[in-house]
Amino acid sequence: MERPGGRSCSGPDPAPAPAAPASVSLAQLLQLVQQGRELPGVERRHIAATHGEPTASRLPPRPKPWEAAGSAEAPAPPP
Amino acid sequence: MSLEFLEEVKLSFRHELEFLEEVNFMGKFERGQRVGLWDKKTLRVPGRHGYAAEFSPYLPGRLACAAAQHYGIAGCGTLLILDQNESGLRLFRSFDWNDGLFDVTWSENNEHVLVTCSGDGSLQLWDTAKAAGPLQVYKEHAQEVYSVDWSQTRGEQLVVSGSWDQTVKLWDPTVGKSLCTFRGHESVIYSTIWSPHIPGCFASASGDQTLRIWDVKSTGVRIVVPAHQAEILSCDWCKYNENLLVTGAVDCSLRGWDLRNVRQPVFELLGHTYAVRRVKFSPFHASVLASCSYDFTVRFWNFSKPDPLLETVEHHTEFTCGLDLSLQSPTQVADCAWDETIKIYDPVCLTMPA
Repeated sequence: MERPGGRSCSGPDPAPAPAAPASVSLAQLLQLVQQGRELPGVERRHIAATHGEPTASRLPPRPKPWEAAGSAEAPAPPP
Repeated sequence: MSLEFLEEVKLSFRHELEFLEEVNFMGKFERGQRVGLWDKKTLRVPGRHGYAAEFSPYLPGRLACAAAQHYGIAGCGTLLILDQNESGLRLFRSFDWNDGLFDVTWSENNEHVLVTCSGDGSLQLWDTAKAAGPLQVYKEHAQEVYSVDWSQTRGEQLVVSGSWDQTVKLWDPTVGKSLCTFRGHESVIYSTIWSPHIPGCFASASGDQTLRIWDVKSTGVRIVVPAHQAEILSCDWCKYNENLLVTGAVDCSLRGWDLRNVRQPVFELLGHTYAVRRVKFSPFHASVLASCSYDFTVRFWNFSKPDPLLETVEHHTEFTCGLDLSLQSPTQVADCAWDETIKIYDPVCLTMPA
C-alpha cells in the first residue's frame, strides 16, 4: 500500500478536502488519507474527567440466564 | 493534520484497510435478501461508526454502543445509551470522548455505570444518570485499547482491558491505577473476556494467532492455544460449559476449543467470507452462538448440528463490528456497523420452537 507521506516529495501540497459531506464512505476516507488530504469535519473534543462519584445503585443484580436454578443442567432447548 | 499522523493511522488500521482493498479488488458484494426478520428496530447515528454493542445486565431493552467518528481513523468517539419502546429505538443519552471508542462493558454492581476504551490508550468510567462525563479516565496503555470486560463471576468487580500495546491490564474501577499488567502476547490484543464460571480467569485473543487463558491470582498465562494461522479478532466463553471457548479470526473461521485438550478444535464453523470481527455464545442455549464479520453479515450457529449454520442476517452495508445477545429475552439480538446504524431484532432461528 502506498505510504501517504511519499506524496509530499512528488505531488503538490495537500489540497483542502472538498466540502464536508454528511457521511464519508470508508473508501472515500481511505482515498483522502492516501492522498494526504485533510479529512472533512473532524470533530475535536477536549473532554476531561469530572471526578464525580457514581450515582448509587438501586437495583439488585439480576441472575444471568445460566445462573438460574438448574439451568446449567438444562439450558433452553436449542433452535 | 500531519502526514506523519495519517501514515501512523493507516499503518495502525492494518486489517481494515487491507480488507477494504480486497473488497474493492473483488468488486461489489453480492447482497442477498435478508429473510425472516421481524420487529426490527434501527437507530441511525449520522457520522458515527459502531464498534461495540452491549445490553444492560439490569434494564431490559437498554443498550450501550461504543462508536467512533471516521471509522475510528480520526476525530472523536461517542458512547450511545439507547432504550427500546414500542415505536423503536430511542437515544437516552450520548457522551462524547476525545478519541474513537472501541469497546464498552456494563458494571455488574451498579446499573448506572459502564466502562469504555479508546484509541488514545485510555479507559473511561461513565454514569448514565449524569448528563456530563466521564467520571474517571484511566490512561496507562501506550496504544489503542480495543477491549474491555467487567468480571462475570459474583464477588469480583474487576475490569480487564486489552490493547494494541500487547498487554492486558487489570483494573478495580474504584482505584485510579491498574492492579496488574499481563505480558506475553507478541502482537496486538483484540479481545479480553472473563470466564463466566471460573473466578479470576479470563481469555485473550491476539494478532499473534493465539488464544491465551490467564489466571489473575498467579498473574501468569495458564494456557496458550495456537488457535488459527491468522490474526484472532474475537473470543468468548460458553455459558454452559466452563471448558469451552470459541475464537473468530481473519481466516473467516470460528473454532471451538476445549481447554482440557487444545491440540485441535472441537468444532470449526465456516461460512463467513471475510474476517470474523466478533463472536458471542448465547446466554440461553448451550450450543448456539452468533458472529459478525467484515462480510457485513451476522450469522447464527448451532455447533452441535451436522449443518451448523442456522441463519445469515444481511442487513448492514458496511463492516459489522458490534454484536450482543440479550440477557433478558432469549430471542433478541443487537448489532452495530460502520454504516452508522444500530439494530435490535429477533432472528427467526431464535424465535422458532425447537
